[in-house]
Amino acid sequence: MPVNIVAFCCNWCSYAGADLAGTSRLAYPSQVKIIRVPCSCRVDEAFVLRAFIRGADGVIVCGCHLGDCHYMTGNHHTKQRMEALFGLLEFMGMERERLRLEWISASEGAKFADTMAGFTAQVEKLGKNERYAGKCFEAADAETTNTEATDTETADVEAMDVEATDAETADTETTNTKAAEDI
Amino acid sequence: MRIGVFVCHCGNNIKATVDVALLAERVREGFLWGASSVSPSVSPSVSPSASPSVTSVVFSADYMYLCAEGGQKMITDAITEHGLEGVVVCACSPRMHEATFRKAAQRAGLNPYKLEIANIREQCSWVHADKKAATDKALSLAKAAIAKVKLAKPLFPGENTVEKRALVIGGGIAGIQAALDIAEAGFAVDLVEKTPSIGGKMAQLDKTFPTLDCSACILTPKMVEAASHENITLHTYSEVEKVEGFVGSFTAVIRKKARGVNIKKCTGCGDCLAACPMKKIPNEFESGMANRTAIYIPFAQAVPNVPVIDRNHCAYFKNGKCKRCEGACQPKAIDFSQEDELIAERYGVIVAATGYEPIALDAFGEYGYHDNKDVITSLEFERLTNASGPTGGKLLRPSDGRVPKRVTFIQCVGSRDATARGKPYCSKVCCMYTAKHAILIKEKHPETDVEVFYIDVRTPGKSFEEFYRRAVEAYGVRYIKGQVGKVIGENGSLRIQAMDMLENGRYDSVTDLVVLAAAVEPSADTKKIARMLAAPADVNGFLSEAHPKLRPVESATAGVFLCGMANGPKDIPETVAQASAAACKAIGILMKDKLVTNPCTAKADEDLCNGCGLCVGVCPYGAISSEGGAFPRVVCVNSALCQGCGGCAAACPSGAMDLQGFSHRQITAEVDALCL
Ligand SMILES: Cc1cc2nc3c(=O)[nH]c(=O)nc-3n(C[C@H](O)[C@H](O)[C@H](O)COP(=O)(O)OP(=O)(O)OC[C@H]3O[C@@H](n4cnc5c(N)ncnc54)[C@H](O)[C@@H]3O)c2cc1C
Ligand code: SF4
Ligand code: SF4
Repeated sequence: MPVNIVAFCCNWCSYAGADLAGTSRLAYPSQVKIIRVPCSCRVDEAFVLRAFIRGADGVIVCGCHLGDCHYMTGNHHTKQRMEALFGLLEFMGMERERLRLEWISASEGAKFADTMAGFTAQVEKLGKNERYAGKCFEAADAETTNTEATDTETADVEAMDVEATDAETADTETTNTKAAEDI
Repeated sequence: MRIGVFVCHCGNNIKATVDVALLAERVREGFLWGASSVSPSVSPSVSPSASPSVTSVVFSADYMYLCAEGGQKMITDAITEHGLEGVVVCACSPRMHEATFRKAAQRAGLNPYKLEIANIREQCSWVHADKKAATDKALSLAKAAIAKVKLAKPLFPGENTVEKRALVIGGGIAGIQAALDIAEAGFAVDLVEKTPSIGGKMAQLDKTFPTLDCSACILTPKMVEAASHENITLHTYSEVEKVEGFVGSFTAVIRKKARGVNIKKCTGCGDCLAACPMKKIPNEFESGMANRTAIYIPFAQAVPNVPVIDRNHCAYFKNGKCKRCEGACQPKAIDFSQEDELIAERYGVIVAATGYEPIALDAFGEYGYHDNKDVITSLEFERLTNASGPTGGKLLRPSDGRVPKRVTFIQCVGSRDATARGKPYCSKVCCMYTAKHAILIKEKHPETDVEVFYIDVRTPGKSFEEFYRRAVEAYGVRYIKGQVGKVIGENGSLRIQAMDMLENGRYDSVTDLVVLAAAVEPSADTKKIARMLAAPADVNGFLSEAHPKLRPVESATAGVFLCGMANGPKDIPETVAQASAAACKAIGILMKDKLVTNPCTAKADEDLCNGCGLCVGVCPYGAISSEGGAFPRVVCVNSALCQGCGGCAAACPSGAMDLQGFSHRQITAEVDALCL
């Protein structure tokens, strides 16, 4: 199984840098999948942790260079948050190398491609993320269901999500039993 | 929820690496939402109507060019025919066509924010070669977009009024032209120039290529026009200190530095200059080749034609004694007590035109610029051949005032130089101005031998090649392909050691004057201005255009426009064209009374907010406060100020703050879809 990598890219710099890598046809591994956020400061630690428990093997957060943030100071908050998150990952017993923070500007298409190739190689060296993948679904699902409880506007979405939650819980159980067997 | 997915071939751009038909088919396979009846691979295909409470892809199709009229029609038709409540377009980057497709959705009665793009071109087909891998990834991206759109809420943009006034920063030819065009369209313009006069570098030039018309003769009328235009307010000797706000309503603070001379009273007679005892100050306008007094007018045609007291050199400001200029000034315009003045003004748009500087040559010791008076830069040469320059236009060596018998030009000093001391880019104007300088010498002194060392001669531009050929063929200028290794001062002459690449041999000879075509770089303040305007700059420090081809005069920051050398090397005709284009774009905004605002703003849930105030400190725009809320301490967001960064949403510990359009649940759903 190839490793799976989630990249959070800010709209103004890194996402544009990724687009430039595209227009310049600079290849990087296809396991890297990008989620567009307005600013790297939109990236909640919870998104990163969610990715890890859902089975991502690496997460990379990319923003504008410090001082060049489209929202002036946004990426300083990102830096603070991610630094704390590195510590948390270590505390959890996860390799901090699975998370990376990079500043990539809109004109750095080559840097984007190189960074993604480098990060993928780094994560491949660590192998699959087995320690946490699938381990905390219950907690995560409880959280999602809570938020949904406040959401009464779209009945269809809710109905659907309940369905999803059920499916996921079933999923978790099997993983848990497997884990138990391993021990 | 009924979702439609559209997959674009983009000709072969996507289709060559992503199996578009398979993708259109597989997006209909249920993942989170169960139902997985895959119909045979006919596109477009419609699945048996799904039960209303379940989200499913009820329509999917692939098409050659979705952005073309036919493609857009396919989307709008499908929305109406199949009652789509959410749309995903798998195509190029949302930075390209998100707006196009959202407008189309709106035409069909769907809220535009119920449409999401999966970027399967720039971030998939163009960067992956393996078709299977690329198709798998495209499917992941499509599923993430579906997951996001299914949680999308309809959003409605607000409005904000447009302040009908423009700020132009930089009074070179770029800024002057932009200001004039905006003013001619009937809008008020403030033109802020850092130095005591507008004009920029063009005011220093002698003749201009390729027509050899006199720079001052074409520039000064424009300078005067700008100063006298009823819609233009000049702020010379001024700098922008602070910019806040957003398109339609920026607020800028401008520091008007104290001139020491009352602009209204001064008649520009210059009596004060004659009276000033401090006469040995290097004259910046003459590139240091002449001196000026402490109270000075930068050059004869300066606009405004009012002196400035240079406080660093003025005897009164240094030692508290002198004031001779005051005595000499009949209209009593000198005012030593003048202080810097700060003015704050509101603007709808901003044009950045802060221009360029030649690079410093400290790192290029081999050319001996700092050791030999007769090694000069091209900008100094402009002054040396200029009739209003230090020698009255006579070509005389700075060291001994003799007419040089041989002149050597060295091109690409620091340009196209990827080492740390140089610039990787081509400065674009040097080949042409060097040919111009060579011709100007030959016209004055046909007997003077002129040689040019070059790496390549680049002459793309109207009448440029012809101009260069004239230098070679009609004027006999010697062009030598090769790089100069060393310039050594020797008995009042200069020895040149170089490689002649076409002769494949060493070149060693003696010359009288060396002229260095120093690379250009963005002016020193560009970085500061870029930060102030939140306008991105490229790796070389030039202000970046929002799109290199399609949006060449806009910055990525809405309402900020670029022109001239501040955006990259260019000559005067290109600068003027770009300035007019920037003005035109700016006028487009100023013409509107109201602008729609981005509805992807933050929103706090009053019931969840615990009043901790963490978000307040994070917001760079001061958009969050507890005033006006339903409860004390519970915050609310001012959507007119919020720019939608989402920092507050990530900072909020109680899950009360969320960013519309990029909500917690949406991003979580995207993460889940990508990790499946
Ligand atoms: C030696 C030489 C010869 C040339 N000859 C020719 C020629 O023959 N033909 C031709 O077409 N082109 C020629 N060029 C190119 C030409 O000079 C430029 O294309 C042109 O001057 C660019 O104009 P600009 O307004 O963008 O920049 P500038 O002329 O640099 O003007 C920028 C202005 O902004 C001001 N400014 C900077 N920072 C701030 C700030 N923070 N706040 C407020 N104001 C600020 C500066 O003081 C300046 O007045 C030559 C260039 C050189 C170096
Ligand atoms: S006061 Fe300053 S500016 Fe005026 S004459 Fe004396 S030295 Fe010159
Ligand atoms: S998203 Fe939040 S932090 Fe960002 S501008 Fe809006 S209110 Fe301020």
